[in-house]
Amino acid sequence: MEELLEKVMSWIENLFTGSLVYGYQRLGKTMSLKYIVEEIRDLYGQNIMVGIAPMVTNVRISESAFWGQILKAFNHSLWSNGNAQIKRDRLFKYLNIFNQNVKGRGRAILFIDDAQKLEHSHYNWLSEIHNDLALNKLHLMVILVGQPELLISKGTLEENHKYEIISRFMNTEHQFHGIRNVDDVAIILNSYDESTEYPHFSRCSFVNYHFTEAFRFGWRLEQESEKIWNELQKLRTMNGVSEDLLIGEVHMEYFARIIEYLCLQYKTDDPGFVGFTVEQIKSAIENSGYIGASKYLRYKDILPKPSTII
Amino acid sequence: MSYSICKNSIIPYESLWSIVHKFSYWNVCCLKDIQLAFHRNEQLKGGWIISSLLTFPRWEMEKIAEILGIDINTIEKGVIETYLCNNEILKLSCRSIRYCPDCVSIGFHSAIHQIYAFTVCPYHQTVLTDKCIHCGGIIDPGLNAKTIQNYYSCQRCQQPLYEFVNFQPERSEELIDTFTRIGELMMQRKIKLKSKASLPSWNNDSEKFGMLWPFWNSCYQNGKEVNVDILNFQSSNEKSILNVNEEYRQILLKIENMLESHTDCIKKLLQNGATLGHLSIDRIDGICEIAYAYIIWRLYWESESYYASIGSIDWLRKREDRIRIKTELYAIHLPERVAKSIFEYECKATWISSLRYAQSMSKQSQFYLPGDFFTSFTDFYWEVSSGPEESNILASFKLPTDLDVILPFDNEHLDKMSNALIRFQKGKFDEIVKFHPRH
Repeated sequence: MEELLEKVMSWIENLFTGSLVYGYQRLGKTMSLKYIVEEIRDLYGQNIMVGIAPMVTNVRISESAFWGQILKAFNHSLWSNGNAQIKRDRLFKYLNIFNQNVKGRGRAILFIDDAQKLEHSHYNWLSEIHNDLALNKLHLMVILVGQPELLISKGTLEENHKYEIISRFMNTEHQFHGIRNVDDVAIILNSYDESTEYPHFSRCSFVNYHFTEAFRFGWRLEQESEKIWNELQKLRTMNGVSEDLLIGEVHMEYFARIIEYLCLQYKTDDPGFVGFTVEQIKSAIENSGYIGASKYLRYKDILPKPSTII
Repeated sequence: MSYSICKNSIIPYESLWSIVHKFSYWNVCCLKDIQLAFHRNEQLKGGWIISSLLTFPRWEMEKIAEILGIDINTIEKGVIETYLCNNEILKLSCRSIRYCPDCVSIGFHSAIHQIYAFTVCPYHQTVLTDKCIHCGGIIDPGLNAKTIQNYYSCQRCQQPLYEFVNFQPERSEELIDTFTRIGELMMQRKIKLKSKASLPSWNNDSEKFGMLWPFWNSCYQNGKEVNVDILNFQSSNEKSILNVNEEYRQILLKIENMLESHTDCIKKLLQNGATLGHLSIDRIDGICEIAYAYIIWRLYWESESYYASIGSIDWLRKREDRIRIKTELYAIHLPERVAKSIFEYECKATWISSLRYAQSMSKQSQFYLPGDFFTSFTDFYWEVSSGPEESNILASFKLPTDLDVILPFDNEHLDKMSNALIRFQKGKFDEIVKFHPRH
């Protein structure tokens, strides 16, 4: 997530017009976007307008629905009213007035989630508004976020010689990863130790709240990183699915469930608590649903493996 | 959720019509969208129609102020109700949009432009108009279901009243200052009008008697001069009381010829006025129109307490020192020269108005109304008791002992008057069924 944030920041600094972020399903891309948006707002304040537009599946390609999603992403109250032309005008004026309000220093960043659902028409509409805004001196950056099918879309556009779209919105790529090794686990567990707050506004971390005494005597969840990672690896191997087909990353959603299960089920005020047992960790992994789901968290047959598509 | 709001583009004293047009333009929205945006009460969504953007009976000004991120006072100053009393709005302000083309071109329109008293823009001195420059149609103050594509567009042809391209209107401090001064004067005037101390009590019913319009009509006639002089108005004039006795007397002399043949009628009406409301309709032949007009006209201009002992025109000519005409309003709001000119116009206009009113009254109406006029100095009161079929009104009053001019017909009648019962048929208050002296 931090890696993606750094990338996005560098794109903003370098005035990129658009980029492509892809990653496998359930790795936590959408949640990461929310975090990134907040970070951007904190950093740039009122001079930047950021929005996340989730693409939805429509029976027919609807321009009205498309502009409605973008207006909603940018928080406009009248996102659902009017036809396509009105919505497009509304978006254009909304962004322009925003730019005028910040005396021409405005920037707009649009994250399109599930961007693999975009069709050629969508790209054309985006290009048009991008041009219109550029004429009014507003820089719009579009970051397409989606599953690896996005790369197929890019390939199709390339085959059709739609270079203007590729050069505008897909000139750089970034792969979003899940938890890949014990170091990643340690970083996340450290956050549970230090950066969380539970309950809200208590200034007490999630781990400190559930293991108060042990925490006071120096025990940290981060110390369990290796144990947890090893158990995850073992269970993945025991699952019986060929390693080649599995995504070699642990998904954030399941990992969070594992940690929450451990903290809630085995919380203690014992100052002598030194860590979770292997059985406890195994039980947490089983209860998270990761084992059952991992059979399906795999490369799609239609797609090349990451090593070949990058 | 948010809207497109162009910062610093709402100018003080800007009309709500203008604000809503700008909002519609920024957000590319129509009437329905604005209703949804500005209406606080969820239950009423879509259940009412905006008829006018000049008077806002149901618009939620706080909500509008909150959405636009501006002070509620700015919104309040954008409606005509802030400057005129409710009963004046229809008479004294234009129901269509009157605008100054020069103001519109800089992104400004004020509710003050709507007031008939101003024929030219107080700032640009450009003649105000309420017609579209493209189609010549009257500019409607409401919004329709069509999306507004331009600032200040005509409802009929959808063309802008002026080519306007900049999102940020021109903010001229001089323009703001001009409208602030006029707006404050108008608001002071409204407070003054609302204050019962400064006007006769029966004047609250000005809607009924139509007495306020002449002042404004005269402002309308003298529009340009008023505009100029209002701007030069000095606060030092505030406490001066305008002496218009001379103008008043001159007007009276002008109508003397007409009144000469009615002197007896006037005397009779004055003497019997207090008793008219308590006589059977069969016993009077109707009141002389000229006499009646004369009395209500003078009641309008002179203090009631002084008026009580006025017997004839001669009185006015001989004892002018006792006249006290209610002209404080002019003195406070206008320089003396302009005030006198307006007074003169208004004085003539009220005479014509009184005359027309008297002529239009039926005999039955005449029968009641003098009672209302004279009650102020006869300690009169009504007591109503309603039954299923009829309503009884107990009317009792005392006659002032020191007034020698108001004499009853005879002592017997005085007895009847002092405690009388008048019965009306239910639902027909303008028709007397029977009069029962109560003993």
